[in-house]
Order: sequence, then C-alpha cells, then structure tokens
Amino acid sequence: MKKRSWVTRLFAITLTLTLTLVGCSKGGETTNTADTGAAGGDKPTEITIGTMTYGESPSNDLDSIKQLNEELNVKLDIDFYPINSYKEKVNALLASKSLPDVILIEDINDPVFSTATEQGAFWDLTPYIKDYPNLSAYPENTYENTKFQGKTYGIPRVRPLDGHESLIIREDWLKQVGMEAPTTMDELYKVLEAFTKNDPDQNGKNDTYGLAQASVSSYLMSMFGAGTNWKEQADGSLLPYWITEEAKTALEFWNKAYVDGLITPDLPVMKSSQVKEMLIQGKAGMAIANVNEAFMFGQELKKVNANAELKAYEIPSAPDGNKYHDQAYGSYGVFLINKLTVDEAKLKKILEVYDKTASVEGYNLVTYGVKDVHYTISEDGSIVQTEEGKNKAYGTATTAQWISGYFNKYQRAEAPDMPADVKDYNYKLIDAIANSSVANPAAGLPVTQAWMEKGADWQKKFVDMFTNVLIGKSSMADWDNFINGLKADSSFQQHLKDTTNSYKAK
Amino acid sequence: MSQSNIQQSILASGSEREQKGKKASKLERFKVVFAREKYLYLLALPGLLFFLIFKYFPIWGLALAFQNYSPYLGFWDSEWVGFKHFIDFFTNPDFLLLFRNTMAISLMNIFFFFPIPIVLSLLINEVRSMKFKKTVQTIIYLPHFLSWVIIAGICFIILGHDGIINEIIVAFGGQPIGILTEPNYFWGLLTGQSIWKEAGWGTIIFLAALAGINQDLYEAAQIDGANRWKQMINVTLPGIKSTIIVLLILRLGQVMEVGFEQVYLMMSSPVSHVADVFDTYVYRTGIQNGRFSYATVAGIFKSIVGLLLVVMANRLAKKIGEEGLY
Amino acid sequence: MQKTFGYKFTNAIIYTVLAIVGLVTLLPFLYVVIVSFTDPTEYLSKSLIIIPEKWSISSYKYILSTEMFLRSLGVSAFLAIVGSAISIIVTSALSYALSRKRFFGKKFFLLAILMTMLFNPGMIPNFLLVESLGLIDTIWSLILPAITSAWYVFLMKNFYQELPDELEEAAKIDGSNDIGVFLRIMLPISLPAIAAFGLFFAVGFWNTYFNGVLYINSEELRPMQVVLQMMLISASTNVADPSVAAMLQSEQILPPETIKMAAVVVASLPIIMVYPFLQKYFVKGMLVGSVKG
Repeated sequence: MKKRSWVTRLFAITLTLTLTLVGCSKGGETTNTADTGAAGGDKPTEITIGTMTYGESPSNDLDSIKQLNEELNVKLDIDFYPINSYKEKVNALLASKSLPDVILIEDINDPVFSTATEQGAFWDLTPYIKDYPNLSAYPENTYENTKFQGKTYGIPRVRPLDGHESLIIREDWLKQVGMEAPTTMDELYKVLEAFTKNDPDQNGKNDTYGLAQASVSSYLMSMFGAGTNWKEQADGSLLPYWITEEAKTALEFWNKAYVDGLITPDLPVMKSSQVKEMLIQGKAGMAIANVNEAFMFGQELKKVNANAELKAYEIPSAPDGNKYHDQAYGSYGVFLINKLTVDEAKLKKILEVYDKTASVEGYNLVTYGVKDVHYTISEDGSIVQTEEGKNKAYGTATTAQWISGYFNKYQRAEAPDMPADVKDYNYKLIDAIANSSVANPAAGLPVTQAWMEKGADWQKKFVDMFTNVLIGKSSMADWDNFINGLKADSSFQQHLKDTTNSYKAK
Repeated sequence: MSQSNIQQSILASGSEREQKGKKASKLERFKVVFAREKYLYLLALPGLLFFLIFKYFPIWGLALAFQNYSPYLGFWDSEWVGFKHFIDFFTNPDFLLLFRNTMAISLMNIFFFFPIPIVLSLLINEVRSMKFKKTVQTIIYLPHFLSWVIIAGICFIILGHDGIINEIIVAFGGQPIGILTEPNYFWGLLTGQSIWKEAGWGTIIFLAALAGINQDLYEAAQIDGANRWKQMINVTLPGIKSTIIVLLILRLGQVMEVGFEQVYLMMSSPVSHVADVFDTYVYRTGIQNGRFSYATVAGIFKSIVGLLLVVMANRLAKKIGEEGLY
Repeated sequence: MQKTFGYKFTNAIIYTVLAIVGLVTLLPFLYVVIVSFTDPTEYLSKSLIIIPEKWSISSYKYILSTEMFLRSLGVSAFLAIVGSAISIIVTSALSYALSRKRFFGKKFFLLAILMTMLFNPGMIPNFLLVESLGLIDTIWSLILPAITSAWYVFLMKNFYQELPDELEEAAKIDGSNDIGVFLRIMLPISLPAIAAFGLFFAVGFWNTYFNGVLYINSEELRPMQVVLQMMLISASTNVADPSVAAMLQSEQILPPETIKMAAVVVASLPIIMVYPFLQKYFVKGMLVGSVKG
C-alpha cells in the first residue's frame, strides 16, 4: 500500500517537472510581468523584502511592522535568511528569478549581482534619492563608495566612517613598564618590546606578547602611509596599497617585530575572535580594534583581573610624520530593487518606507519596537530592551537588518553601560581619527574585467606572500620577485591601467 | 562492381540482418523478462525514479561549462563561449600544483586511512566480552559527529604555539614547533585528522559484513584445527572481501574529492602551496568570483578522472576474479 | 574448548590495542565535554583547561533556552526518522532488485547509477530542479533530494548479492511474488545491514545543513544544524556589521567556546543515544545468520 502511494507521488512529480521544464523553455521572461498595482489606490502596496539575520527570524506581525503598514498604506513581507550562508541563498534566488522586491546584497560589486545589474535587473535610484530627505542626508562618501558604474543602484545601510581602527592598549601595563602610549612607529616598537620582555604582568614568566594580531590586515601597511586600498602616484595613476614603497617599509617593521617575538606567533592561523581572548587572558598588551572594544573587552578583562584597564588610542604616526587611518566604506550592504516585479509607483512607495525608517524614530521603531513596551530609554539616553522586546526578537542583529538606518558618526564609540567620561574620551578620539582618515580613491569605480576573473587568486597570493615575509618564511627578495612577477603579468597590467583610466575620468 | 565488392556487400547485409535479429531478440527478451519479473522491476522503480529525477535531470547544468553563465539571464540566454573555460583551466600555471596536492592528499588517505577501519573491525570482531566491545564501539563512533569546524578548532588549541603539545616539548627542554604552519607536516596532519574522525565510524560497514558471515564456516574451520589466525585468513577475510573491494573502487572514484571543508579550515598562508587543491581553487575562483561556468569545468575534469579510475579498477577487480561493482 | 596460552596472549594484545585506540579517541572528545561544562569566566582567563575549578551549566542553559533551537531539534528529529524510513525502503528495494541476476538491464542501471556519483551538476541546477518541483520551503525539499545515493545502493546491493538464491526460491514455491519475498524474507535477513544503513541515513538527515539553507525560507522548518550555525556565529565576535558587533559584544556575557562545545554535545547526543538500540539488531542479525544454517 505504502509503496503504491510512493509510486504515484513520484509519477506526479515527474509529470509536473516535465511540464514546468517545457513551460520554462518557452520563455521565462513573460511570466514575470511587473506589478501594476497603483500606489495611490486604497489597496495597500505589497512589498517583499529579503535580508539577513544574525539570530532569530522576527515575525511579520510585529507591532512595528503593523504600525508602518498602516501609516504608509503598505503590506510588508520580510524574509530573513541566516547570515552564514546568505550569499549562496541569494545567488540561488537570483538564478531562479525568485528575488523579492527588495534584496540586500553585501557588496555592490559582487560579481554575480554586478552582471545582473549591468543587464538591467535593478532600478537605477540616482534620480530618486534626492526627493527623500532622510536618505539624502547620508554622508556623501557613503553613496560614493557604493556607486556602480557611476550610478546609485542601492540604498546603502549606513554605518560610521571612522573608529574601526584604533590602537587599544593595556593602560596598567604601560604604567608597569613606565612608558607612555606610543605616538610614532619607533615608540610603538619600544612598547611592543617592553610588553614582551619586561614582564608587564609581573608573574615572573616570559609569557606575554606586545601585539595580538590574527592573520595579516591591510592596516598593518596603511598605517605606514601605503594608502587605503589604492594610492595615487605622482603621475596621477593608482597603485594598490601593497605595491607601494611604504608597504615595504611596513613589511620590514612587522617582520622584525615578529622575528623578535613581539607578536603572537600563531598569527598565520589565528581567528580574529582569538585576539579578544588573548587580551582577556592577559597574554597580549595591544591590538588594533574598534574604539568601543577597548571598553567592552575591558569589562570582561576586569572580571579576570580587577586592576586591568584597556584604553583606545590613535594609530601612531608613520615615518613621514603623518597619521594614517583607513576610512571605512560608510555602509554595510545595499538594498537593490527588483525591476522585474516593481514599477515606478511601487518604487516610490518602497523609497518612502526606507526614508521613514532612516529617521531616528523610524529606526528605533523597527529595531526596538514600541517605546515603553518593547524598550525604555535610560537616564544617559541609551536604549534598554525589555524582556518582551527581546522575546519578540527585536534588536540590531535581527529587525534592524531590513532597514538602512540613520547615520551615527559615533556608533563605534558607544556601548551600553559606558560611563560618561569614557564616552566623552571616545567621541574626541573619533573626531581625531576622522581628521587623518583616508578614503579609498578607487571607491565607486567599476571593477575591472581582469579583477573579476583573477582577483580572488591575486588576492590570495598576495596574502600568502605578505604572511610569509612577515613571519620570515620568505625574504624581502621573494617579495620583490613576487611584485615584479605580477607587474609583468599582462592581465594585471590591464587591471592597473583600467583602474587608473576610470579614476582619471572621474 | 567487382566480384569481391559484391561479396563484401552480401557479407555486410548478412551481418546487418544478423544484428537486426539480435536487436529484435534483445527487445523480445526484455519484454519476456519484464513480464515475468514485473514485481522485481516494481521494487526497483522508486529508486530508479529518484536517480532519474534528482541526479539526471539537473545534469543539463553541466552544459554551462560552455557558457559565460549569468544567473540573471539564465541558462537559455547566457552567452556560449565553447571551450574557453577549459583552455583557461588547463593552461592555468597552478594546474600542476593543484593536481599534485589533490592526488597526494587523496593517496595518503587511501594508503594510510583506508586499511584502518578494516583492521579495527577485525580486532573488534575477535573480542568476546560484549561489554568491552560495546564500549569500544561507542567511543570510536563519537568523533564522526564532530564537525570539521570543531575539529579544526581543537587542533588549533592543542597544536598551536602555546598548545599542550608544545608545552610538553618545552617542558622537556625543546623548542616549540609550528606544527600547523610547517608545510612538511601538513599532509600528515590532514590524514591524521581523517583517521581520528572517521576510522571508527568506518568500521560499521565492515562489522555489519562480518555479522553476515555464516557461523558454520567457523565451526568447520575449528574442526579442521584452524587456529584464530588461520580462521581470520581463511574465513573472515574472504567473507568481507567483496565489501572491501567495492569500498575501494568507490573510494577511487572519489580520488579528486579531498574534503573541501577540512582543507579550507586548516589552510593558512605558510602551508598554502601544499594545501591548495582543486576544491579550494574552485571555491576561490568560481564561487567567490561568481564564475560558475569556470567552476563547472573543474567539476567535469574531476568527474572524468574519477570515472576513469572506477572503470579501470572495476576491470582489474574482474580480471582477478572478483565481482566488481557492476 | 581449551584456551591455550597463545589464545590468551592474543586476546591481551587485542584488548590493549583497542583500549589505546579508545583512549586516543576519547581524550579530545572529553575535552569538548569538559569545556562545555566549564565556568565561562574561568575558560576565558586560562589558556588551557584540564579540570575546571568551577563547573557550570550556563552554556547548556543558553542553548536550550531558545525556542528556535528546540523547534529545530523537532524538525531534525522528524527528518531523521521519516527520512531514514523512506531511505531504507527505497534503497533496499532498489538494491535487492539490482542484486538479482535475473534483473535484465542490471549492468546498464548500475552504470547509470554509478555515474551519478561522479557528476555533480552543482548548486544552481539542483536548486532550479527543487524549485520547479514546487518543493521550496517544504519539509520534502530536505527529504526527497537526499533519499539515497549511489554509494549506498552499491554497498547494499553487495549485501543482498551474498544471500543465496535458494532462499527466495523456497518462498516462491509458497506462491509469493518478489515484493512478498523482499518484505517477508530479505528485509528481516538483512537486518544487520539495514541497521547500519539506517544509522548512516539518520546521521545524514540529522546533519542536514546546506539544503536547509537553500530550500527553507521560514523559520519553523529550519533544521537544527542551520540554527546551530546561526547560534555559533552570533556567539562569535567576527561580525562584519559594526552595529551588530557592538550589540553582540555587550549582550554576550558567555564566551563563544563553551557554548560551541555545549552545542556540539547537544547535537551529537541523540544519535549516540540511538546507537545502542540499533546495536541490538546487529547482534540479532548475527544470530539469524547462524540459525538459518
């Protein structure tokens, strides 16, 4: 009996499949006609949105969604996909032409989506953004950095530009070894040395490191003035930061520090979460991290060692006397709007929703829910979620993921329960960093054909060589050979040429 | 037309007729067999349908190796580029390196890993105490359930610079070794991990095969005065021989698969010239760079190598008088 | 029978070797269990834990407190039970048929099945297929595409091949057709093999991850491994989004490692507990083998 129902089911499936395949081959285009629902009518506009979640998937009948639906005469339907495999999920949706009206992608230059954008899959928002006051209030660099072939295709999820690179130091160790926070690279080296060799934790063992660092990062070079991703040369052309002379100076510095044992020796295999562990275990005295992480890691460090203190500082100045911080992109991911399912009237409705949620009130409503029910505001002005708010899965890791939010320059300075004096110090630090932060000159330029084909491979070889020279497995001569080999590669030359050309045309 | 030509054409038509007859009889025979064995075919039907639908229908996807596939345009509208991606793949300067690493990791696995579950299950089979047997079995199955992420994590903790192994070395007056970053140890490290994780689990199949051996054979051997060793050689091993051979042939088919996740997690810059395999390369160039077509080429190459090896091994197995796979 | 010295000596060696193997296997796993029960603050402050000074079940509390996780356990349990049942029936029926010499076209089908092991069309074609079958966001999208594989068919076919033809001939005389023979004779006889394969299938379904990501949209149907991965990532500090990172850092009082280890224990426990139950069948199968003589 059981078997027969199986057979029938499978037959039914085969039949459906054959029919669908026939249907598909006749032309998938025509089945996806745009919604013609007029926005002005009484019927609410239905909007489907796909985004990521770092935790649970919030439901669609939250009070916040209901309130927005009513206020804007829309019907929001939001799908949350787990962050770990977001890219695979979205690629599959694109391939089967089942993308929602609004879809979040992490990088506007993502090769899969950029091809689709070129082929006209998404709305060009350039002429529309200016009509929406909250959206157009985002910093200019946020839009510059997310342009695709000179046009704005996505609503950027706005994030701070500065504060992701600061030197966080064990203040109590500095006192122990009798030093000040380093302001130049030479001083940095001395502190690294003292933290490693002068037993700053006074346990009588030689078991500490100056710097906790997980794998190689661009800031190791850019803090020496190598440039943020690219550097403009005297002749107006662009070079990747790691090909510059400054990059070689940086390599020599870090190689010496590593060989002298001043950096965590497991650097090539360490994960970035281990940096935090090394700091909290009192094994390392410095790390490069977000400004607010000095306070947040410090809180946990204090549980282990009550006298310990972590403080954030500017990155020391490069040999040329200037300070260099990479400027961040100012956004994390963009929302693209599907041209297959959205007409102009609906597009405007969608932008209305995003403009609404780009205000502080709109952001708080979506992220934290209804005030005094799902969250309260404490005396120092910070938001405290209630149990109900948490149970409904409100929060930055979940509900905030489907909106673009508002620009908060000091986001990376703040943290819950932070005392006023620390906050004050951090704000000033962000301001100082903002003064010396360098934007990526090539931001918003089209990705070259050569990079699309070979970029990931070049990137890997560069990271391998960077790591091996740093840890002393390869020599500076190997580094020079590697750079010269790349420079002689015709497709790499083409990559540099195309980038420079589009930079000059900008 | 010359004599010989005519003769040839007669001969040809003769053999043609013969073939036609053969074909007809083959079809006839199928009809007869089918009518007689219809329930047997009914048993096979759900499974065969599964393979047809879920394994054969999507195979047209391999055609995208000949395209510049764009997910947005879809299969029918993407541009056809012929063998471009094949040429790129085989002329890529890293091709030989990738091939060497893939084969080395795989062959080490076959030589060192493959025999271990067999030996283990033979040992377990000799144990008479049910309690001990069960305990050992349950313990050695455990690691199978740990994901590679966890195993890599444990390795980093234990084998790292400040890990317990290096602490022991230092305690005995040695210098700490970068076990994780030393290229000479890398293949061994991977093989060791695989053995630890899967060898115990691999005994299940052999133990099930051992359970299927007719107990009378042992009694007969005992009457003949065979000792334990002789019983193992003459009864036990022949009893699971066909399982061993099938597993080995299937394993050969997977020679190009080296456990992407494992390699990817253990890979770091200092060892990357011995660690980079086809799967990691495809992930980098194909998935990260969105070149689906290029990734498909690598997949086809891997499949063809696997197919050749399986066919060869199967032929060899049959030559030495074994059943083989098919 | 008299046990000789040689016999005892061999026994001693076998027991010792197996005990060592068991120990080597157990130690790292023991470490996982110990870490999962370690007090989080203590874990962070020490580089190496051998025996924690303070035991704690807070990591387990954290994992089991989320409704999402409990629901996903239910989904995975359903997959493991229903999925394996379907898998066993389909796979053993097919393998049995293919193991019979009278199955005309056997060679062709076996080769065709073998080919599927070598050619994997990739994510996109598979997704398109599942989508066109209308299975997206249903529990069947996690079961049907994973019913069996060439690997299992070949192994199982091998088991059936060893069974003598006389067995079925006897039953046929009683008037049974092939389906009857299969259900009443072959299935019971192959119980040890089926128990082993059942375990394999169950583990496979229990570990469903990537299909769960691709084919499931709604939270109610997400299998446990997907949720587990999500919990692990949110418990780690590697978050690209600064606003989320700040939030997670502040709310995350527990360190990631102890939670990860607790999650591993929770995820592997059910299958490990099922095992002794299946082992009974291994033994039973052995008895059937000896009695049938």
